[in-house]
Amino acid sequence: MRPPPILLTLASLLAAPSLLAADALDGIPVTVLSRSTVTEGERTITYVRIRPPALPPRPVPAPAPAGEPSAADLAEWARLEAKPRITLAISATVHLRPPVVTELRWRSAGREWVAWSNVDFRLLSQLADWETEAAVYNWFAFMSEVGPEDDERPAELGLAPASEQTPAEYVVEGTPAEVAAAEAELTPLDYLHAFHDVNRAELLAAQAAREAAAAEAARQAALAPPKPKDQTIYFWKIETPAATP
Amino acid sequence: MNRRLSRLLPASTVLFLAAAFTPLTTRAQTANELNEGMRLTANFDAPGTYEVSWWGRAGQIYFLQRSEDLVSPWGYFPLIETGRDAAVRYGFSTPNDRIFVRLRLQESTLADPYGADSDGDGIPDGWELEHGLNPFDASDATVVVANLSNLALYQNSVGPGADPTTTTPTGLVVYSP
Repeated sequence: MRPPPILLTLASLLAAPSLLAADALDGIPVTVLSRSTVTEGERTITYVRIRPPALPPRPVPAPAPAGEPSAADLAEWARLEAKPRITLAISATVHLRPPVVTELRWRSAGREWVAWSNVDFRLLSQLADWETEAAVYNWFAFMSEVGPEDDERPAELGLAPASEQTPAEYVVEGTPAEVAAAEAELTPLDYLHAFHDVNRAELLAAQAAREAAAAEAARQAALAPPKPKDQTIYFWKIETPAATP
Repeated sequence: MNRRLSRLLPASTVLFLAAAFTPLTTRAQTANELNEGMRLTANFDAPGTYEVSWWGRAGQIYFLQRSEDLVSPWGYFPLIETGRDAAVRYGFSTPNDRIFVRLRLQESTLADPYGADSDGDGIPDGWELEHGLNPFDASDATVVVANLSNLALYQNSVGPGADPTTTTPTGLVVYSP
C-alpha cells in the first residue's frame, strides 16, 4: 500500500519590489514548451512552461568586509549585550465609547494582570521595540477595539482622557498590596505612558495620517472594487549537475 | 482597584530599535537538510521572477503548490518532479507582489508519475494538474462542468470549462522531468 502523501508545511514569503511588471518576462524572448489554463475562482491562471529564459545574471555578492571590528562596533555590541532583553505580550483593547480608555491585559508570575489606561493605545500601535538605560523591550501588542455595545469597562474608573493638559495614567486591578508588589510588572507600562506623553503630538499626527490613508484606500476600493485578474505564470526547470550530498 | 500615576521619563531614555534584516541565502541544498532544504529566492535583477529549490530524494515525487494570500485554495503547478538525490531548481514568474510556495511529496518509484492516480478517482494526476484539479481530492472527479463530470471530460479528453461539442480533444500532456 502506498503511504499517504506528506505535506511540507514550509512556506516562504518574499516581498517583491513595488516595481513589479504586469508580465515579468516582457521583453525577454522565451521558448514555450507547453501551456495550460486552469480556473481558480473567478479568474484563470495560465501556466506556461518555457525553456530557461536569458535573465540578467545575478551579481556576485560583495565580499564581507575584511579586518577586525572597530572599537566602536565592539563597544556597541557590548553595550547591547549587557542589557537584558525583555519580551512583553500585552493585549490592548481600545474601548471607543468616550471617554476612550484602553484595557491592558498580560500574564506574569502565574496570574493575569488587568489595567485600564486613559491613553488611546491605537496611537502606540506602531511601537514594537524600545530601549531604555536598563533594558531592551520587545513588545508584542495584541490590538483590538470594542464599540459601545460591547463596552464593559468598570463603572468607576475615574480616568480623564489623556491630553496636552492631562498626563497619561492607568489604573491596575488588584489590592494595594498586590499592586505594590508588582513594581517590576508595571515598569513597562510606565515607559509606554511616558513615551505617549513625550511624543503625543507626533503620535497624533501619525495616527491621523494612517486614518487618512485608510479612508482614501477605502474610497478608492468603493469606486473600483478590485476584481480577480487573470494571470500568466511562466515556469522553467533549471538543470543542475549532480551534487554530492 | 488602585490608581497608579505614570512616571515621566526623559525622552532620551526611550529609543526605537531598527528591525533586523536577514539576507537571503544562495547556497545549494544537501541531503541532510530539514524540509528538503526548500528555499525561495527572488531574482532582483529580473523583478517578478523567483527560484524555488529543494533536495529531491530518490523514491519521492514532488508536487509544487503556490498561493498569493494563504487564504485562497493552493494551486498546483502543472508538474511532478521525481527525486534523484540531487537538488531540484525551478524558476517562475508571477505578477503578484508576494508569493508562497510549498511542496507536497509522496513515496513513488513509478517511471511515469503523471499517469498515477493518487486519489483513485479514475483521472491520472497529470491530467488533473493540467486542468486545475486536485490530484489528492477524489471528489473533484464528480464536479460537473459543461454538463459533464470531470471524469467524463477526462474520458472524452476534453478539459473542464470547454465545450465538449466544439473542442478538439487534446489528450494528456506528459512532461519529461
